[in-house]
Amino acid sequence: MTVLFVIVPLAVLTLFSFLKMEHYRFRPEFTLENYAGVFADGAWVFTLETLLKTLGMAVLVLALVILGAYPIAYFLARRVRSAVLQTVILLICILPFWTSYVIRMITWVPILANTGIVNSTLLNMGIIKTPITTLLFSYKAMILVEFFLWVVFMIGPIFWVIARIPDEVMEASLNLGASRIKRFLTITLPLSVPGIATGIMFCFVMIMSDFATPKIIGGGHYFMFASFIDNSMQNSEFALAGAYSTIMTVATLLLVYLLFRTVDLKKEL
Amino acid sequence: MRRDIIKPLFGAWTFLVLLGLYGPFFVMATLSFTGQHGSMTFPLKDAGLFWYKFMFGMDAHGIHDPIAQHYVGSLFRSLIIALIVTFISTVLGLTAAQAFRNRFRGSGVTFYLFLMGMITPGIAIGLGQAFVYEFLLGVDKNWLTTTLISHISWTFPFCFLVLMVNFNRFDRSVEEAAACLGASHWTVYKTVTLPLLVPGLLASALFSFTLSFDEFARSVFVIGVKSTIPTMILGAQTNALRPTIYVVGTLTTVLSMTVIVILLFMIKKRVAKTKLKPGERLQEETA
Repeated sequence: MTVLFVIVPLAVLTLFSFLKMEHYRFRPEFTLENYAGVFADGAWVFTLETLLKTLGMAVLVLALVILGAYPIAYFLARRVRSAVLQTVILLICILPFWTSYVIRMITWVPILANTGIVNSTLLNMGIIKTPITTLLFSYKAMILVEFFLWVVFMIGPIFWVIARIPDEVMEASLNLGASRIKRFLTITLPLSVPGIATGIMFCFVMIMSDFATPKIIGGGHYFMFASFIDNSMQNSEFALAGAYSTIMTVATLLLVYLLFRTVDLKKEL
Repeated sequence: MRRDIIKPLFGAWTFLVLLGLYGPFFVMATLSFTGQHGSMTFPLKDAGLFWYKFMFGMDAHGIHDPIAQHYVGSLFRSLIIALIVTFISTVLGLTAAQAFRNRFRGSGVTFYLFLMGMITPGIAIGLGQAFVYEFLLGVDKNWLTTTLISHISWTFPFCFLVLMVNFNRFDRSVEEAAACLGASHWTVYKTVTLPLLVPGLLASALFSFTLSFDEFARSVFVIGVKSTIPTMILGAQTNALRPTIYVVGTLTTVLSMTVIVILLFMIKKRVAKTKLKPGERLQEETA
């Protein structure tokens, strides 16, 4: 099943990215031409720059998401004592996970647009005289929107691991004389690493693959790695799209592999 | 003393994040009720159901919007795909998770192979599948075949994981007891194993339905002529902007939420029946 629907397509993609393309058809002839389009004649500068920019944004978003999700998960797991309330708030927090990310992203447009809520409120209050045009179509907007897009992927896994720490362990550490800060640093934080790693894995794969947010929230000014694939496909440059996809898959799987080395997902279940 | 500061602080932060998660949706829902000449932003002009009627072809008023007229069809297609995907990937997930109850040779590698669909960027899988159809098999892309398959490759790992978690929390002695008391293999499976799996099966349905209904990155290259709703929305967002997009967004979100709440409610009822500890129940639902 997976072999047929996932592995074979990936293998074909990789293989075809090394084949020669003529008249929109692949010919069984080995070539590095497609990768030349990615790397040669100074193109590599832009490719590398975009890859680094994408990774940089991913790291920034991930850091914000972890910082944002951790207090929520901790608060829910350790400070909300009523089981019913805990379940309800947790569900409200992760409910958006099951709704469309495309729609969740688009809903930010009427808020941040030039005639959007933020601008019109500020105008009405007399704080600004002309609309702030950089609310939408800016890097900041992308980071803001991505934070809210992916934070739901992080709350669940972190909550899961913190909630599993037995109360006795937490009490024992205090009884043995550790301060609360020391307890957090030596017990709670290390034990939540698997949750954070799982969340990172989910978010990272989503961020890498996402070309819709740069397009709609970034207004196309902020080119991300996945945009390469989208663009080459729109120009019917299949081979080029294949080359970009292969690079992206390798980069992503490499990082996921490193994550799996730090945390054994199979044991966590 | 410390406790007093942290609790309200973290609580306030949770509230703020929830505001960012849900606020935009309410803004969109409100804007979907704008009148015929209302803009895409506030204030609403003669609020009403105009764009809802327009989308369902009831009140065209001579506005030509080729995209809006296809929304209803896309919505319908997305629903059909989601239902079929839910069924197929839950069955596949169950068989796969069943196999993982006992260790077998190569189970470690197989586990990660099964997860490939989840940990590879969706856009690469979609493109790879498109290549297979286009250049290898020469089949036409169609929403009910190629798109359906791309969805299953995405939802299957989730169903598999959810059901595996269910199996891991499972007391084998119950099955053994039933077998000792003379029940046949099939009777044990039907009367003991499956009922205990119901929460996992429902959770698997929850993941596969919602993930398929909202799937975008994989579908976009294998969609064919007729779109599903997420590909339609993004196509529209880059072309003409009309309040119909808010109508579709509101309708699909409300639909997803309804399905989610019903399924979660069923899971909760079921779990309460099998009496797990509260901590374990939460894990089932968040897995």
